[in-house]
Amino acid sequence: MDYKYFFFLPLLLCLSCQKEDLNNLEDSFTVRRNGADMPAYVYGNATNKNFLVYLHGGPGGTGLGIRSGWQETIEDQYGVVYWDQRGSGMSQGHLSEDNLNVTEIIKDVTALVQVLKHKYGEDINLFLMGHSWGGTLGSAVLTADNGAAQDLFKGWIHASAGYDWCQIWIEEIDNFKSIAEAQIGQGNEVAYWESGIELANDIDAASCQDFRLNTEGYKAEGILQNSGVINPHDTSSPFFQSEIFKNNQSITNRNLVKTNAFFDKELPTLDLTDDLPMITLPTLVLHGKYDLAVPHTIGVSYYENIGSTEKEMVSFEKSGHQLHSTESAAFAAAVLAFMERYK
Amino acid sequence: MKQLFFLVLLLGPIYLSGQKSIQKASSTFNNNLELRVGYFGNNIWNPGLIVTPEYTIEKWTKEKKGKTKIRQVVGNANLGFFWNPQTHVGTFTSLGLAYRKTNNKKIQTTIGINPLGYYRAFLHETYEVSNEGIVTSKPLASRGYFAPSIIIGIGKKKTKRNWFFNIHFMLLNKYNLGNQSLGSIEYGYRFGGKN
Repeated sequence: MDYKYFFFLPLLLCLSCQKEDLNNLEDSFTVRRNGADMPAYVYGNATNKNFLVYLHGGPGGTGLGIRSGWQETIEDQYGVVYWDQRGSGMSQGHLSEDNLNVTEIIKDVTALVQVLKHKYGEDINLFLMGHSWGGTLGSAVLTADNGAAQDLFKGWIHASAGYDWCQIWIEEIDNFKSIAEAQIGQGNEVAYWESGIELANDIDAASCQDFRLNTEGYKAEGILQNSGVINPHDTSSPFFQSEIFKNNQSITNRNLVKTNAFFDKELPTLDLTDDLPMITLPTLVLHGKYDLAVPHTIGVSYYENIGSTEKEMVSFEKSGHQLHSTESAAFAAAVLAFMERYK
Repeated sequence: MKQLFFLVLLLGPIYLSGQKSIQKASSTFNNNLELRVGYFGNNIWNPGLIVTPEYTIEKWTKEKKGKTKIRQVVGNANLGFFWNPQTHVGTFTSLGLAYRKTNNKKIQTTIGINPLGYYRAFLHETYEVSNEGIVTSKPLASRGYFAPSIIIGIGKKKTKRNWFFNIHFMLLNKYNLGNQSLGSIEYGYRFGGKN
């Protein structure tokens, strides 16, 4: 008999304090692969064995960061898996160029699916959803190895995301100027938008390394909220359910800064344009009309070029990049309807 | 027999004075040794416990105009843990020195550095996936880091026990892409010692 487990019994009790009632899941586990320990958090109703797997943005964001109110509608009927990618959220490990790259994260997604099947059964149904960088990652997953991973999922939800990293910075300039000119025409925050146009004209988009307009875009969306063009953020989620409470912010913020900067070298080479016709899975494309991080035109282009015959695009008229937060009810309704149709 | 009597008479005091030295040394050691026990809150609300024996290495007392001020250099070695309900139990130990000032009102301020430290995170339910896609359960999966730390704190010296409140920073070495700081609070009591 191995007596060491008696010594560690109190530790084991702490580590296993989760709720695994399939009707009201509140579970978490860690996926360990190639130098990274990546936590996944599972909430919701998995009695029908249907799960939505969420890929967060960044790179370097957090899985739980998207929980802002919309998820209550989805979690009533589906299990939702919020997973921290390597070098992100509360993930930990020893990372370098050898094991922190897009290829490794693609393999991690497949590993996550294998763990979900191991834990909840081989007969579970999975939908994949990616927001921002997570949408780009999801497209990379679905087109890797000649689209082999598409067999793992019932459907794909692509939210506020691009597919050609450099193209985002190029189209961002015209997008910003177009929105700015419309706001100036309406007399909203004229001084701010005029200075924004000056910045847009100064951007070196061809370098794919000038992120000033992308950074300004988040501030500009705040200006649009103040002007009533974009809805305010949904703050209905209680503090004790929020990512701020559940995660250690000093860890998640540092991971965001370090990992985001680390990928500045690789992502300019990421262009999935030629691979888009390979995506034949039922697909839902969601995009905010006033998205100043990834222009709405890129969402339209993605929708038009994927190979799926069963596809739908929903544009959110009162949203920017965080459409799940600024039109949470409409976001939840669109996701729910899609999953109901293809589960 | 007579020779034995005189030998005992000669050696007796030498032996007895040796015993007195051992008792005196033991008494001095106990007077300088305190035990600090407290709540350890990583990120404030991830609960845990920390136990720290402290030994006063050096002490200076200054008296001026009826006011007494005490300065101490204290060696310490701690052992603790905290629980992050979402992801892991963090355990740690470290060794170092602290400088403590006690003013006339018995308010204490402490600053310490523990350059030798180790942190190990024991993960929740963990599954390892091999390159071939084989999933294996890994009970008590863990990952360790070299983790020096510093503390800054306040407290009050009382007759039987002293309370303290410290802010604790640990620096985890080679965490993901670089170093990672962990901020925590400690509060509790210090027992023992007569200094």
